[in-house]
Amino acid sequence: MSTDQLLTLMAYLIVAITAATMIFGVVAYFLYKIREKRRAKTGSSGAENAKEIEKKGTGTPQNMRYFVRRRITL
Amino acid sequence: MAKGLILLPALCLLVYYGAKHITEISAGSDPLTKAGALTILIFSALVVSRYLFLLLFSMLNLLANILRKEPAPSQHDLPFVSVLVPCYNEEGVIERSLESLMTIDYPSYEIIVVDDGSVDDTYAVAKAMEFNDENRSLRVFKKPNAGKASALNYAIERSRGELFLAVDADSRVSPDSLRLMAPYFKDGRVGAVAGSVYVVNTNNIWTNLQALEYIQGLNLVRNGQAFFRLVNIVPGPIGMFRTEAVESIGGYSDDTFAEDCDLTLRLIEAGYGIDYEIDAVSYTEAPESLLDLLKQRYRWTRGILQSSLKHRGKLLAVVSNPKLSLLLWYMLFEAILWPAVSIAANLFILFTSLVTGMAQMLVYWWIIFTILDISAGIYCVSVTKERIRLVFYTIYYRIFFINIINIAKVLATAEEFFGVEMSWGKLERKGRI
Repeated sequence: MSTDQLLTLMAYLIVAITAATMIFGVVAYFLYKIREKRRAKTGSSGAENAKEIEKKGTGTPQNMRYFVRRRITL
Repeated sequence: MAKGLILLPALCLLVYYGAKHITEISAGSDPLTKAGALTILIFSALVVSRYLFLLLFSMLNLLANILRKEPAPSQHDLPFVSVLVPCYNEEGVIERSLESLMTIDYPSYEIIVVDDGSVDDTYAVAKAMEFNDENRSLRVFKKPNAGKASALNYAIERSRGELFLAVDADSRVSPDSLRLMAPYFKDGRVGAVAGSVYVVNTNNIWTNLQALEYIQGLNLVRNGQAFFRLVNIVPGPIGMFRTEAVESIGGYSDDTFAEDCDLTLRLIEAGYGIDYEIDAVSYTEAPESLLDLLKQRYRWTRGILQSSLKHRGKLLAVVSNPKLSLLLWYMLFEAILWPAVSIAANLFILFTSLVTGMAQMLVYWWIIFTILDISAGIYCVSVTKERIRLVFYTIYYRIFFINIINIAKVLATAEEFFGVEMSWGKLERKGRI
C-alpha cells in the first residue's frame, strides 16, 4: 500500500468515526429524553422510586417489574 | 511556567503546516475544495486561538500566584469558617463525605448539614454523627424539600463563619482546602474562591474522559479566568465565599438550574473578584453511563444559559461594568456559538473531504491536532495532581467525546429557547467517594 493510499484510508476512517459519533450523539440524546419522560411518568428517578417503594411498602408488583426492566434495558 | 514549553513543538508544527496549507490554497483548485480547505484553516485557527488564550492566561496566573505568594498565615490569622453541606437522598455517601470534612486540617470550623427533605435515611445517618468540641462542630438540620439553593440559604442563616465553604454531599475535599483558600479573602475585593474538581471514579471510558475534561477543560479555564479574578462558575463541589458578600446580594437564587453560576455572576455584578485555588481539591463522582452524563450536561447547559440570560441587561454594559459584560459575552460564546460552530465546521469538513480530493490534508490536520491535544494534556496533568494515564484519553477526546457533548449542548440550547419544561434531575450515585 502506497503512502497516498494509506493517508486516504486514514482520512476516510477519521470521517467515518466523526460522522458515526455525531449520529450516535443525536441518538443518545433522544434516548436520554425518552428515559427521562418514562421516569417522570413514574414519579421520580429509578433508584429513588425503588427505595421509596421498598421503604414505604406502597409499590405494586407492576411498579417493581417496570423498574427492573428499565434498569436492565437502559 | 517552564512546563508550558511542552506545547512549543506542537505549536511550531501547527504554524508550519498552516503556512503550507495557505500556499496550497492560493495555488488554486476548484471552489468547493478551496471552501473546504479554508473552513479547516479558519476552524483550526479558532481552536488554536481559544486553546492558546486559555493556556497563556493559565500560565500567567500560575506565575502571578508564585510571585505574590506570602508566608503561610499563623493559626490566629485564619478566620472561623463554616462548611455547608446541602443534601438530598445521599444516605449512601453522606457518612464518608462527613468523615472527610471532619479530617480537614484547620484550626476552627463548623460543619452544617442541611437535609433538603430526603426520603431516605440521610438525616438519620448524618444526625448520628453530630458533635461539638472546642474548635469544631457538626450540626444537622432537616427542612422540607425546596431545592439546593434553598438548602444553602438555610445553612447560611445558621452559619457563624465570616467565610463559608459550600460543598456537595457526594464529594470529598482535600484536608488542606480551607488553609489554601482562606488567605485569598485578606483582599477585601475577593468575594469567592473556586477550587479544583477531580473525578474519583475513573473506572470506564466515560469517567476517564470526564476526568480529562475536568482538568483540560474546566480547571484550565478557571485558571485562565482567575488571572483577571473573573472565574465564571464557582463549582458546587468546592467553593469558598465571603458570607457578608453573599448575604448582601440576597444569597442563592432558585430561579435557574445553575445556582452556583448565578451566584458567581451576581457577585461579579456587585463588584467582587472571583479567584481560583488550583490545589484545593474536591473529589467527586462523575456520571458512569452516557445517558447520565447527558442528563448532567443538559442541566449544566440550560442552567448556564438561564444564568447568563438573566444578566443579559449587562451584555452592553461595556463602560459601567466591563468585567461582567466581557464575561457574559464569553459565556454565550462558549455555551451557544462554539458548540454550534464546531458541529457545523465538522459536518462541512466531512462533506468536502468526501466529495473533493482533500482527504489527505484532513489527516495531516488531525495528526497535528492530536499532537497539540496530547501536549496540552501533559501540561494540564503536570500542573495538577491528576494521573498521567489520562493523557492517553486525549486521542479519543476530540474525535469522539467532545462531538457528543457539543451535540447535547446544541439540542439543550434549542430546548431552552423553545421553553421546554425541565426538572432538576438528580443523578444516581454509586457511592464511590
